[in-house]
Amino acid sequence: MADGLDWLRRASLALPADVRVRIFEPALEDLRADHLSELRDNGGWRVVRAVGFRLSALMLLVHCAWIGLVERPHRGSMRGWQQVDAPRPRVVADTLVQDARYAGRMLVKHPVLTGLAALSLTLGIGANTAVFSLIDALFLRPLPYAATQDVVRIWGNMPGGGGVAMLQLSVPKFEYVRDHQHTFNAVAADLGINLTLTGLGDPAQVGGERVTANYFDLLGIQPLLGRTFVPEEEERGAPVAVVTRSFWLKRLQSDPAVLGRAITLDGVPHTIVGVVRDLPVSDVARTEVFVTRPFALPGLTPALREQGRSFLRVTARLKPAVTLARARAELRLLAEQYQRSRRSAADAGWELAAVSLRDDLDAGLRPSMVTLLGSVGFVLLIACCNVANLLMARFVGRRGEIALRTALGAGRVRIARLFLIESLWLSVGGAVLGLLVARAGLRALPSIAANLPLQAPIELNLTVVAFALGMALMTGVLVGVAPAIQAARPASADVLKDAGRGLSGAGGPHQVRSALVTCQVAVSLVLLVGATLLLASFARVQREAPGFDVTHVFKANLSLPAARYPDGESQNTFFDALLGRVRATPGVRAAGLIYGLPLSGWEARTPYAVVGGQTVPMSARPLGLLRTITPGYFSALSIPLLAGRDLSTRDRADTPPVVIISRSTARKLFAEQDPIGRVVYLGPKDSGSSTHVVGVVGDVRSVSLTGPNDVEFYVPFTQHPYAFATLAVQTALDPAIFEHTATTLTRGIDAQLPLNQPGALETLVVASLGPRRLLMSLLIVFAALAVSLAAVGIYSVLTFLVRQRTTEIGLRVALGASRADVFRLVTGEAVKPVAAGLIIGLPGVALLAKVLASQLYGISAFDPLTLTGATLGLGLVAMVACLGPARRAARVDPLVALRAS
Amino acid sequence: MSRSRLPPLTHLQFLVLAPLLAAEQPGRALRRELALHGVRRSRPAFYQMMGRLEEAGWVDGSYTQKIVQGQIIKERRYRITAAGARAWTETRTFYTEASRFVGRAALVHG
Repeated sequence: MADGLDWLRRASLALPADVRVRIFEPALEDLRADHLSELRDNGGWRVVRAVGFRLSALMLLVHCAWIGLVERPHRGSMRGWQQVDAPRPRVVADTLVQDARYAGRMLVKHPVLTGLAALSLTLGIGANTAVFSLIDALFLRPLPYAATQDVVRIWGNMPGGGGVAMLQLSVPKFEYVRDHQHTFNAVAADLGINLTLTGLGDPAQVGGERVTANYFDLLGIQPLLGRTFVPEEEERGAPVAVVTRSFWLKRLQSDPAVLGRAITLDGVPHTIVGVVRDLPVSDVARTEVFVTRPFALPGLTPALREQGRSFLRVTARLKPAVTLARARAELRLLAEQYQRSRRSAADAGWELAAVSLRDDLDAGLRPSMVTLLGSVGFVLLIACCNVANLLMARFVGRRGEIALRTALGAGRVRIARLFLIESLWLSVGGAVLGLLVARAGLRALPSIAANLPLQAPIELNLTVVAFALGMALMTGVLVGVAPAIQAARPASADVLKDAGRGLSGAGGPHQVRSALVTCQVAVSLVLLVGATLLLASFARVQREAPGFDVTHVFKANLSLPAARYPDGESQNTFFDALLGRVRATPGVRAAGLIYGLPLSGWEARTPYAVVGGQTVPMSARPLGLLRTITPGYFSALSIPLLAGRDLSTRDRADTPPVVIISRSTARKLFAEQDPIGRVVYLGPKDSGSSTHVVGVVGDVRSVSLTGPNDVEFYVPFTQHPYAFATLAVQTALDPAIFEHTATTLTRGIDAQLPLNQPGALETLVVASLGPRRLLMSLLIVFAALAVSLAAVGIYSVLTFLVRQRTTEIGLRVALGASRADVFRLVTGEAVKPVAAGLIIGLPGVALLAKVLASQLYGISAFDPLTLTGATLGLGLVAMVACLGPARRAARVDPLVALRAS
Repeated sequence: MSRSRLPPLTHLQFLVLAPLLAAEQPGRALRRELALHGVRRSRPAFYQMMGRLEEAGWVDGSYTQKIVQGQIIKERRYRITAAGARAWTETRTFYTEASRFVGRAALVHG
């Protein structure tokens, strides 16, 4: 039965057999029939109904367990059950229903207050639910791997000069770790690639992974169909493939005969041996195909391989009872042993670091999510203060009613329960509406942050709905407890007489309300300062010159299959032909190719040293970014040439190696000396790698817009051939329109070669700002919410205060107080809690500064201008909120007020 | 006047067995019938009561299968036995005679 209750049926086996057969099973079937009939007759709110169904089924099991394990052993004969089978009065349930109905009626009688309170809770719970959904999708959902807590990633770290971390490993280093370690059950390697898929409609680039044969077993991924790789296939580099479920559905139309079917990847037919589920985007991007031969990096000669060319991502599974600390200790030892055995290798001096898989995948986004969760919790706190304030204000107006109930015999518990039920009505209603708000917010998410590693658009699921309902219960109790306690205090006869006279307003309830306003203002200040800081930081990041022109530049990736382009000569012939056609196209101002487009995430690094400078052993050399380009690239991205010359067709495979360096690189390597004509070593060995500096170009933010300018080298494709490149074209046309032209030109040379990720270069820049933009946008929304709610809170407190003190105000005016005096009196009631809130909020701001410091750019977390502006702004909003009630109080007619009392 | 002995059924059991005199009924329908008379019992409490009626031999329970929204539901159905029908009739006779007794007592003491 596909009703998700198998776990319940298994649990019911613990019941006595007759209880299970005679009571539990028919009751459960009854429940299922009712639920399915309801779905058939009224198909909305399926998720909520599903939650209710499962909860009811669970309660059913609990009740049957009570019957079977507690009631039955204490009962006698059939006759003894007579009492039980007679209907009995349900006193508690009846009064509960009564109170719930009454509370509902009271809420409907005060639509403005109810509306305000419900709106506050809707926004608070809705925001929390939306953020929780995001966190659930990114962090909480279990990875589809077995025992994820035992899986680690092993990276290289370069200590000292360079200080680069999270480096991939070379083949020799991977093999050394694999063969000499004792703390892991298995060690696997993978390499992310793009594969050209042909023979299934138009040629397409698909995301792929080259993996060792034990990759799937290590992660505990069972195939949905067929099998995964076997060691012999990895050894002989067999042309076999494992595809993902989405590949099978989308590109093979769920072909039932998928196993054994051939697909052409990079011009080579591969036989599909298995289908696996889609793996998390955060781990393998949008990989659709897995193939063997993980060490087959294009252009990797045996010499380069031995010299320590590093490109493998390494994953390992800890042995049972082995801790991560112990594994790290062993890796430190292995790194030292490797260095001693291969001193001349480029990666000999790298340390080995192990990180748990979860940390490896989550680390980048975690600080932002923590900030978001804290912020949205603050918003809910403010909403709760607001609602508590509103309920407290209403309590003052109902003191007569409460005193009457007490006089007629209602207990204190019953009275307190009444207020709690009212607040629960509000909070549950707020939660239900909040789910709608959350849903709308999640729909808008992709437009704010397109780069989040989400498997699919986020939808509300059972976990999230349960979270919202839990929030509702918690907030209902939180906002209702203060009024309930106040209400349950013994009332005096005087209250009955004084109720409605308008001379009260001071005392317990008013102090509590003022304290709530103080709390709201304090929390709002923290959020407002945080939002302003992030906004200022984002503005600075956007203003940060990336070093290249992003407008009117088209970019598209090319991946030349080895079968048709086996060497540098064939690859460069294609590139030359393509560039020739592109440059001849009307509207094209400049065109070039690059491996490692800025902000693309593609990067290669190389050890370097200055010839004639201080001698540094290979294993200790720093790493610089290595960009492979063609002539015309700098013009295409408007990167200025500051000295020397650009690359040209004169720089060929048989001419001396040349390099162009960035301005920061020139300063770092050569200080104030002229770098043109100087020689550097580039690569894992000195012999044959002397390269002449022929030009200097402007700095480019290659890795991130906020990162420092890296040491950067530009070398020609003709001297460093590579089968992957990005076409960059500066065009007078809209880059989005140029895609069709570029595709036609490429197909004109090679009909089987697709362009990958074509589009405007601007999208890369926008995408790189995605997480920042998300955090900033959400915090601005939350801060605006918080400030609005605080203003509403202040307004409502003062409004009720004025209403309560109408007689007093009338008396004062009658005794000679001017309207200005009354205005000052009322606003003075707000000044104290607001000022207290602004002061109390300052330590919160200091704490926020610590949390946000790592996420800010170009602005201090203690920026005085921001702090002053936020404080003054919030103070101004508070004063504006006071205006309405204060003016109303100033217009009170003393005659009317005194007559009414 | 001879008085009947006390009825064998409680009023709730009397209420539940009444619809079964006409025809076999599913448990869901019996619960709905009780609700119409203002008696709402949870599902476990209701089926616990029906279980006791089965133990006393007044009803027989059985399962049938039906399809709702593409899912198979095992529906528990009940049929009154001859002993159950007799117990129901005895109970009705008792209350009928008792109401006549009240009338006669009023005439005597009136």
